[in-house]
Amino acid sequence: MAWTAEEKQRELKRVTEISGFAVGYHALLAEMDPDALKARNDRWEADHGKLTREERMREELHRMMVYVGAGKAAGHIAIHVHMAHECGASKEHLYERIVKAAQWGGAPEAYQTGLEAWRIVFLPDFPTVFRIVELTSDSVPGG
Amino acid sequence: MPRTEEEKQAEKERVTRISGFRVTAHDVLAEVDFDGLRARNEQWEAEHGHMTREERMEDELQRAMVYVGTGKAPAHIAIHVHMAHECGASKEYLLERLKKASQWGGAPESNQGALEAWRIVFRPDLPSVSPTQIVELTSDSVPAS
Repeated sequence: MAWTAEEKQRELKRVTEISGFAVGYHALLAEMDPDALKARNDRWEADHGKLTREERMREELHRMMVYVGAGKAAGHIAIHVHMAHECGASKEHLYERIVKAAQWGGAPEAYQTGLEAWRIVFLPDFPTVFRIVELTSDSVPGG
Repeated sequence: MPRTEEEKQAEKERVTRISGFRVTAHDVLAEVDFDGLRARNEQWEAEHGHMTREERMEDELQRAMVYVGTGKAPAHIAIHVHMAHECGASKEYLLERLKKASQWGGAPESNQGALEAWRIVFRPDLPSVSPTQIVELTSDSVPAS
């Protein structure tokens, strides 16, 4: 079946409505494969629709931790940091769990990526952690 | 400073007492880096000693899930599955969470690793699934032409 622009837009809005977030990937999927996006939304509703706030918090926390440990992208982790927080997890607890997951997972730069995800949600005005602040020669040994 | 056999044994027993498990790496550490093992035990006690049963369950579950998602060895995952279960997580809940972690993590063969870790703890009577055990190889499904 051919999707109208309106139907695609509605399916994309459904992502945010039922998930609490949407990312560029969903927008692209709405354009190129709306059936797949609809299947994603149906599956998400079946998985998450009946969760309590506490269950959803744990689900988002667990997902966030696995993503940190496995070295997923910061933006991908951040959407689950956001939802775990929305469902009741404090930002301090989330930071503490990010540190643990990075330590347990051991993906390269997992800690910095987890920190970046946390920053995206809680300190969006602070510059990204993935930047060089200074480079000096002051600490080069003398002889 | 050289350690006596008694001291090494006591530190190894401390691993099991405060953790609920011990692996060969701990035994090797007792032989080659006693101070490293003692530091491990002190750190473990500082981190876990004050946890409630519920907090410890969640800590062990989360660790098992991160390990599954990052493709750690099944036995390494299994020690934390064991402790999460000891602290109150049901075996059904653990299987469901490990499968989720496998899906989210996407490390190579993590699904088999998750299943193997669970099997080690709850169905040791069943044969190992990891590394991949071939049960059958057939040509039945090869398309005719």
